Amino acid sequence: MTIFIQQVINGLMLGSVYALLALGYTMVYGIIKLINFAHGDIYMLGAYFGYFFIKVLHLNFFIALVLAMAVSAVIGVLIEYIAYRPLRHSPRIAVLISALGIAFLLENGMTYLYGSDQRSFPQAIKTVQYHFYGIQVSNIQLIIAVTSIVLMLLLTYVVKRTKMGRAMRAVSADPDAATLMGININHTISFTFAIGSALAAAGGVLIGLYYNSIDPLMGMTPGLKAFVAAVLGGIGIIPGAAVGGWLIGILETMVQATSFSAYKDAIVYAMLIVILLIKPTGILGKNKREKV
Amino acid sequence: MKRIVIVGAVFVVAVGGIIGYGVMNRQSGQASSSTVIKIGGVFDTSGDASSYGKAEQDGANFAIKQINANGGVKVNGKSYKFKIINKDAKTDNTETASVTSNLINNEKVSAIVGPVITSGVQAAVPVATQGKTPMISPTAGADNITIQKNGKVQPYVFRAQYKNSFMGTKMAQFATENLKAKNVVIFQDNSSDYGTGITAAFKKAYKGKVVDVESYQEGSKDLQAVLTKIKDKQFDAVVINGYYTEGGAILKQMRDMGINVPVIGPDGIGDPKTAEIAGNKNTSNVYYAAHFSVDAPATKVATPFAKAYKKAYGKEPSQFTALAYDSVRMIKAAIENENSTSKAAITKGLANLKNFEGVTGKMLIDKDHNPVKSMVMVGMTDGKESSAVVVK
Amino acid sequence: MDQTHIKYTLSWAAMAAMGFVLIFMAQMVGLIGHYGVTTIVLIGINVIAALGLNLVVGISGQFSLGHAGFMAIGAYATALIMGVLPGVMGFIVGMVTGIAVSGIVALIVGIPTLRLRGDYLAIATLGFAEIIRIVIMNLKITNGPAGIFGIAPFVSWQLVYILAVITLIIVVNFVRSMPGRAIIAVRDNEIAAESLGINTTKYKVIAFVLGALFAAMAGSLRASFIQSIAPKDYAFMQSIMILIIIVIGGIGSMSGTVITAIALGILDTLLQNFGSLRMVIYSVILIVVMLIRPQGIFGSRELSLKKWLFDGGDGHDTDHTENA
Repeated sequence: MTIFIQQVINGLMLGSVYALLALGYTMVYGIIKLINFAHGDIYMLGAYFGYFFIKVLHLNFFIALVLAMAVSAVIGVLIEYIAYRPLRHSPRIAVLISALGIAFLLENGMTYLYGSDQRSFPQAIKTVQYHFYGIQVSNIQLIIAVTSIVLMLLLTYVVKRTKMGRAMRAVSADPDAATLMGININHTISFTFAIGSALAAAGGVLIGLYYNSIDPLMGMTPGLKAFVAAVLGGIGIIPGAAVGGWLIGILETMVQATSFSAYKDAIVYAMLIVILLIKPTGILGKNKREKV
Repeated sequence: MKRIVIVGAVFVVAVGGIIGYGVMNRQSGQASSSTVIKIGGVFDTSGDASSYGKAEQDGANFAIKQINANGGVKVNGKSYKFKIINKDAKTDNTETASVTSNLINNEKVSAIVGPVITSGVQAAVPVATQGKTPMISPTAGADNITIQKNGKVQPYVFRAQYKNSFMGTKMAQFATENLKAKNVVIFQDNSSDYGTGITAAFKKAYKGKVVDVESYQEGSKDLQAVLTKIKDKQFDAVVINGYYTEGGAILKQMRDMGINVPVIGPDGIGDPKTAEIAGNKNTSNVYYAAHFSVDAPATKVATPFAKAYKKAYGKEPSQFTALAYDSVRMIKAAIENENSTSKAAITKGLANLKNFEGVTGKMLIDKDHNPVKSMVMVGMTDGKESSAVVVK
Repeated sequence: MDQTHIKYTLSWAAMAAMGFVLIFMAQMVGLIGHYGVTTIVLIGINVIAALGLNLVVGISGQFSLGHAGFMAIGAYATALIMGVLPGVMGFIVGMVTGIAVSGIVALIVGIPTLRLRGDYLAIATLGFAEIIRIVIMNLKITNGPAGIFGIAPFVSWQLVYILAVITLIIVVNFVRSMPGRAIIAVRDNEIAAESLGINTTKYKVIAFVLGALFAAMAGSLRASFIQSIAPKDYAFMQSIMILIIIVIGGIGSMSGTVITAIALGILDTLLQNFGSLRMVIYSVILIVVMLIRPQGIFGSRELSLKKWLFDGGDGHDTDHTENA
């Protein structure tokens, strides 16, 4: 039993990171219907900024975290401005390819500038293991979980209670009507990208600290997984992303805990397909009737 | 109708142009006698294998620079210079075949260093064979890359790396004889043949009991679940068959969880990055197969190489770098032994290479084009190399 | 068939023949060597795969990210059968089997998943392709991550050229056939099409299966040409690379697909000289092209010989399509 609980905790830890990333995916999707393939690479950039702030500027971990989130937010807004905004009225697939281009550019640009080697992330916080009734949790795992939950709550507050959040929801529901109501769509979309990128960067810094290694391609697999998580939860729905992220984290952990570790990803994808076939718009998705 | 005439005319002109080119080309012939020997470098500097590809490209380039600075290659009293032409294979097999063909047929290289990984070599073999160009892969490990389907040796394919089965067998021997481990748990990277190939050989040669084999994929860094699962099983050693990128992460999480048994790894673990990723305090009681070790130099050329490389690049050379460095020097040795720069001579020279003093050991090339060199198991304590045992 | 139609058909055939003759001559006199031939074959294989995907994404409007999975099926079927049955027969049987298996899998996968819409379909197809790859990677018979090598070479540029032309003919004619028009109707307005009595799922599945057949053919050709295969070759990125071809060419434009496949093939050979900067340049080009021509180079239009050759110029001053 303790092993089972331990595995669930392991799954939730892994899922927290997917959830943080999936939130960014889902927000961007909700507002401009774009699968932002560059999202995983913002996570990578965030990790590199964290690395820079801690290793070169010797800042405190939490200050570095906040700074990395801020810088990445600016970069996210810039990317939207340069590569997505001019394509807002183009076919959706054009924006998708543009996003892929940005993803390639970030991955290969970072490889070109800083090499493709793994870098060890500075251990700004010393690892301490806690044991409760045979269950083991490290302080870093706790930091990840707490930071993720705080950020998610903060996001829910922003979206539900603030003026900007209302604007985001309005643009997501109907951009034209939102314009008529005096909402500045460009500002709202920029704000969405800023928040999404900041969350991704937070994920990157936390993971850098946790696994102690960062590299320019580190965003590819989690990026894809987060996309899957967002779709699983119902893309465009903020609590859905968190649910999807945790579910995938637990699922992966459970598969690894049985003897099918080689088929881990295959089983996760198979579950995804089954869930989509039962609920075609994801777990929390609403079935909208199509109008003629 | 006018445009049909235009298209027709363009076609006729194009055909005429091609014929003209053919006639000109036949007349001019080829009379190039330069003092440059071109070497092609097929390294994956982008994509999944890029961290290994870059390290190897640096090693090969460094060897070329050093050889040229020290008087080049001596053939019949004449001094030749090496020129390396590097192409990125993108960690993609189709691309590997394409760049290899480019190097052989367009750049007319005399020999090729690369590709980096087994599947890349497999894609490049037909091209090298067709172009009769010797190719030496620094790091491809699969047993069968140098062997044709009918059991004969691939005439143009060589490697500087041990083959996987050799490494797996020796690691098993080390586990039994030196660590006295009776039960082991194996972690294998099943996204490459490297991990699965070594595991297969290890299992075959190992006399004790393999309690469990766990697979992970390239890029996966969270192994908490698997570690939690095996934690309470009985085993005296853990074998990690993969590269340092994931290996370092496994080591860290394992030690954090309190699993303190000895860890054995192949040469992919043998990189300074392992200790960096896992943390020095976690990198104790770790043993890996080494070609090259800064602290336990295999030959007298190893230490000067490490020093010069560090001076030039500002970092310690990894095993990947060292193997690529040796690959280039093996080509040089082949040319000088045969006293000819022709591709056939280089091929023959590589096949007959003996007593070659590489930075990764003193070696000879066997009849299957694999290097025969001793394998050293280097032990780490607190992230530093602390012991070196030759596994006979 | 009226006379003008024969005229257009003949002029397309003449174009294709001219391209063939040009490559043939160029190879004969040594203008293009082994490397040039490799490039041409790889372009041809991409043309076949991309035309298949364009049928799914462009014509039927179903966003599939699983093309690599079907290429993998074609490639592995060919390699496995050629291991048992040597010679040309092995290659032919292997390719036909690969295409057939791929079609059956597409049917099984397509019927349930094509009910999904847009991005949900994309992720489901992506999932299937990954499942196929992971299964191949873990099976004994497929030799795991190392893949299969020593596959006998039976693929020449002539074969690929002819198959690419045949693919183009089949796809273009299919688009203009009754099922083709039904598929377009489903894409443009599913509800309207349904109200006209079109069985939307059936037509989506037809397009999906056809796309899978061509993907398998491309995979099979590449296996025999490169002479080795590994699961790595059929990862997510492979699907993306084919997708990029059709989006840049113009979704739904077959001539756009062919020309983009050629242009990107040539670009790739040029970029090989840039070393580490290669992919950086490639990604910048990708972004810039999308910003300048978001609808793709050709949009949804086709290059029309009819207009260009016979009606006198009305603005179609595009490149020759000799290599089509």
